[in-house]
Amino acid sequence: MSITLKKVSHEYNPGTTFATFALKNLSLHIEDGEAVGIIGPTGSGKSTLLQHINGLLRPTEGELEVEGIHISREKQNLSELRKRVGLVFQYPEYQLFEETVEKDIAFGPTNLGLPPEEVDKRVQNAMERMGLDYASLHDRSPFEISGGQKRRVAIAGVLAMDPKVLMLDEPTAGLDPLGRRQLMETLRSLHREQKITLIVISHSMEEIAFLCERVLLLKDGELQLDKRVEEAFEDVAFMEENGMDVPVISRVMHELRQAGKPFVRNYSSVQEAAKAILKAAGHA
Amino acid sequence: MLRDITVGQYYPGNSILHRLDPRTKLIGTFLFIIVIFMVKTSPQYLLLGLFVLLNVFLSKVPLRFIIRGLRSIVFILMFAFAINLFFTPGTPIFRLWRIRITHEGLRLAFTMMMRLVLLIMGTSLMTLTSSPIQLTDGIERLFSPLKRVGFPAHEVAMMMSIALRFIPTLLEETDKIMKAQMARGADFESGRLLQRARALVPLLVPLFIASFKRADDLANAMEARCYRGGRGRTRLHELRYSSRDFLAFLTLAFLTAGVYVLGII
Ligand SMILES: Nc1ncnc2c1ncn2[C@@H]1O[C@H](COP(=O)(O)OP(=O)(O)O)[C@@H](O)[C@H]1O
Ligand SMILES: [Mg+2]
Repeated sequence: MSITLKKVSHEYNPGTTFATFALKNLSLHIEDGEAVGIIGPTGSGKSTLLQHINGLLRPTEGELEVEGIHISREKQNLSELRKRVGLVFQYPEYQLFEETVEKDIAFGPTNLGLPPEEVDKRVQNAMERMGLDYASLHDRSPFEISGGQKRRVAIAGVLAMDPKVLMLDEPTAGLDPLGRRQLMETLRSLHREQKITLIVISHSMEEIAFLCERVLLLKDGELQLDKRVEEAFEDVAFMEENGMDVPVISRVMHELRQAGKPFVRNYSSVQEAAKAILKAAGHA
Repeated sequence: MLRDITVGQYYPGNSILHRLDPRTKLIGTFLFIIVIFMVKTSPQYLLLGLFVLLNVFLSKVPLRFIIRGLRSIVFILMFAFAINLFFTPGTPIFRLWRIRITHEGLRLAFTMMMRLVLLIMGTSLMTLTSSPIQLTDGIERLFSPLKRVGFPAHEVAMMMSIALRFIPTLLEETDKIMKAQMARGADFESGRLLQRARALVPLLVPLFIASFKRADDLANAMEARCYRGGRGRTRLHELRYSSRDFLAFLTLAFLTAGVYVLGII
């Protein structure tokens, strides 16, 4: 199963003075088990794109095929799709509403009509996967735990539906550095160890480089670039022209290349890059 | 889905109606409502109907905009019509088993409907041609004589303008939370009444929490800018009556006279 978009366009408020095209003629394909980063300036249509992939929005033109389910302009029942494709909105902690963490995470699986024992299992499993301690947290109120924990609880609420594809809209926005790092590690292990397809929107190129293998750049609702991460971040000039940035490592490598040093590729971690530089300098 | 709501919406423009002093429009609308309830005969309704249409024309607001406002109360209109039609005693003109329509009922149903339609059209014309800021300014000025007896005119107007300002924000937020819960399998559209009411909990709780937080933030931001209520505040736009407003009041006087004359002949 995979995700395919064919000439998808989306217009908000069509036929009124507020009409805006948020997506324009977008075609792309995402394979099972990929980790894809979506970048682009604010208002470029990133969130709109994610909402199409789990059917919260329907295209005004074109069509999608997601996990074998066809989505077009026509109204249809999409509960099956929501089961397979999870979407974590920006600042997802604002959607928490239950008395306890456990009940809140159980909201999704309960809506799927699962038996109570299965729901319990899913909740414990999702908390474990998000690095939340079940014993100490399950009966706490979701409003009295820390910001980073709230975010994890909200993500666990989506994971508990056991989706094959997990999409996250700026998952680390507003978290402190430790919270960010931990969440990134958690997401990476979800992808690497549990083979979940990841689609992540982020303004941090560092995070994209850490998490993803492929990156899509949107601008004004159009796909500007669709490349492997290392390739994309090699072209510093292009990224800057489009209002984006590259990870610090890529910039260092770029400068070294400019200075005539033979660094051919970007490194996905600081350690790797440091080793390569030391080696070139004759220290290793 | 929630963006279709047009109640209290402003239609920006520069027509003579837009340029009237908001106080004129507020008082005018108030008078118009009183006149509506004095009216009894069809020629009088015709006169009021023409008056409303004339104002729609003057305002340059597309008629369909005003009709759309009526659409949201279609149910209430039908209900009022049916109640009056079927339950007014009098001389029957039509009878089928237990259902009976009387001459008086038919008459009353039509007058009630006309009244409601004129009422909605008149008031939406006011909100469509005045920005929320103008309206609250107007209200504050109209009620400011009452400040002397302790009526918090400024505070009431401020509350209204904040409420109006946050309606779109709240709608946007509702849309977002609804989508987030739908992504977790929530269903807001099917089920029986009780189920549907219960389905609103995951929407309302986050909405309330966000609203309280927003109110708190706004209060802090206002205090940080030294807001201390209305005393000693000066305004950027002073309200001033002009000859237009005089003309508007004159027109209303003629309308009232016209309705009165049509009532006695
Ligand atoms: N619910 C909405 N109603 C109307 N316009 C919207 C809505 N959501 C987004 N838009 C508009 O669509 C465009 C793309 O928005 P969005 O997908 O949120 O961009 P991004 O996530 O990249 O910042 C923007 O111009 C935005 O103003
Ligand atoms: Mg966004």
